Amino acid sequence: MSSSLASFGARKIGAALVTLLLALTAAFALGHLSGDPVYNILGPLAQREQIDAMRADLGLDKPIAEQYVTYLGDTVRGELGDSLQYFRSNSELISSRLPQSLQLLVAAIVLAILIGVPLGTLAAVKEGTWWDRAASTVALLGQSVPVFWLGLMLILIFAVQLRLLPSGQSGGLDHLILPAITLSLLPLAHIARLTRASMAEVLAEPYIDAARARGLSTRRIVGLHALRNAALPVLTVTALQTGVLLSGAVAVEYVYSWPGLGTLALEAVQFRDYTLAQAVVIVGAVAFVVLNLLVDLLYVVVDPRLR
Amino acid sequence: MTATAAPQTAAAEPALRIDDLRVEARLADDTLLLVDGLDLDLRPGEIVGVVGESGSGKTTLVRTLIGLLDKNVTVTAGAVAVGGEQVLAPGVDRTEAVRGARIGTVFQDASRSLNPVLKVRSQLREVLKAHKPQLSKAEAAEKMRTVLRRMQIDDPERVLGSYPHQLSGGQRQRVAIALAVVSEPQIVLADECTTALDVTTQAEVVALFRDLVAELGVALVFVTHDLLLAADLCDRIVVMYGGQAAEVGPTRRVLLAPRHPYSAGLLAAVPSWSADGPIRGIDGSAPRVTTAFSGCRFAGRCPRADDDCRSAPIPWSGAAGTRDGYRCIHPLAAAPAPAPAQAASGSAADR
Repeated sequence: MSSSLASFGARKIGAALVTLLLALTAAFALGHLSGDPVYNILGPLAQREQIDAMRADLGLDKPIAEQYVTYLGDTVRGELGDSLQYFRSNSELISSRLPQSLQLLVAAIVLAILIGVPLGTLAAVKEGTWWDRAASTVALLGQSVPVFWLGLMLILIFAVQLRLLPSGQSGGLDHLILPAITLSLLPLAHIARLTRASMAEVLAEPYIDAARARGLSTRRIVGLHALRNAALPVLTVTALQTGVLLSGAVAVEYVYSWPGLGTLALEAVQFRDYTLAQAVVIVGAVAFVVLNLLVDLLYVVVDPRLR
Repeated sequence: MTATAAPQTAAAEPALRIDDLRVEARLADDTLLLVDGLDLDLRPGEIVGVVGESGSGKTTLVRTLIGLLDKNVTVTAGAVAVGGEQVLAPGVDRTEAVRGARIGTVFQDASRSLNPVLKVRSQLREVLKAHKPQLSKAEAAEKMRTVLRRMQIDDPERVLGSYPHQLSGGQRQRVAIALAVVSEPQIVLADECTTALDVTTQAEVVALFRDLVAELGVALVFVTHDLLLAADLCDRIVVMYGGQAAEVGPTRRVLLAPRHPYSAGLLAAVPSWSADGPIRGIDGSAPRVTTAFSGCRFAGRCPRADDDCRSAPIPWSGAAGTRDGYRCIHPLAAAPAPAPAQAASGSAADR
């Protein structure tokens, strides 16, 4: 049993490493496919010597294969290079922005779970009723409303008209509310829909009838017997949605002038700061892979049959 | 005085009493009669077999008794009493109070009636918490071990610490039965609960039920389509067809000298029963019975049916003072005498 668990873990970790390597390669390719970075930075009026000097400085004069190997080696050692616009190390820049992004991300995903799971459960338990239709409508809206539009509308209503909440910048909890709501809506909708489908399926299982026949309370049957079994697909989608959030955060951070990784990535792209853009992509990829690995391991905790 | 009288009335009081029960399913354009005019008395320590093919209303009966009917299915006539207290009647549903506490249910597929992500211990404990909240932790733990030992499980600690998928099919079925009886219900409903098991395990489970009834005085409703199994275990048999009782009586009488042609047809379809003659199935299948249905439900498949059978509802023929009898106007002949019938019966009914 434990040996199969160990091989399960080893397989998952191996797959995660392969994914990571592919992501690193893609990040490298992106930096080199979007035109010559040195031209882009120095502009059309640059002198030949300037260009050559900068090339040598960045190691861009070496063969592409050598650059790739150097890049991989540096990345593994945690060296993400220096930003071309801020003249600081990328890791420093990222670690100064990461806490804000994490704060926003965690708030959004917690909100999505705390509202999405009960909403989907309610819809499944009250299948075909007004509750069900209301929940489905919310889910549909959440999936179809563009994030930037929603962000602007919330700012317009709560910050400009009602003056209840700040319109942007990070700060206290009140600053977090609007961006977190905006960012949470899409994953909330996905989680609610999937919870509904998964719960509806589980509620039709014979062991749910058997639990009812044993005279257990509806609360216990839905909250423990059904939800525990319905949790697996919901976990998967939550992890995937968290990955999607990483990109959704760019738009949300921009709309709310939130000083996180998303705005940093935007700044990098606008300034053609390819080393910084690369570094942000790497950090995002690592976060995504680690998150998925954690979910795979969490499966084993939730479903004893996988042990 | 009352102290001596009380046990007597308790013994005389049926554990389960069903009077003229009628259960209907409302569909978009029709109303189906799932159970119609069913009477049944079940005394403590008694085993009643409910037999019939799929669609005869057996499972609906079980689900009615524990209040697990679909939304469009309701009790429209009659009454059900548990231990003398009415729990079901049109517009009355107090099954929640008896479900799990006074009526335990064992379902068809034990493997699927256990929650796959919960250990046996927590599934047993939650039943005790719901129905025996006064038990201390230690008492509950002892009770769980006892009930598993009663189920012939030698290593209760291991089974308690296991998830369902870590147990064998036979062990899962024992655990499912343990879950139904750990709260010490007076009535146990077993719905086709041996169907998915191999013959050896089936025999063991039947023996378990027999012990439960003998030692604890449980009243058992054993629903099956397996006549031989019913013959082996049950004191009385209810043959159901199209939602009605076609025939009710002591097991030996019903099996050795069936009066209803459907009972006889079921018997002829049992291989070892008709060893001296050909095995014959009953042509056709159970009818869809709507409220507009009139006449005998079996008429379409019955070799003895005539116009009278199809024109009007068939009255119940039974001896006064008992619920035994049959619903047929052209019954088979009554048994001439017990002796020759016994000789022809073979071993099944005698065991």
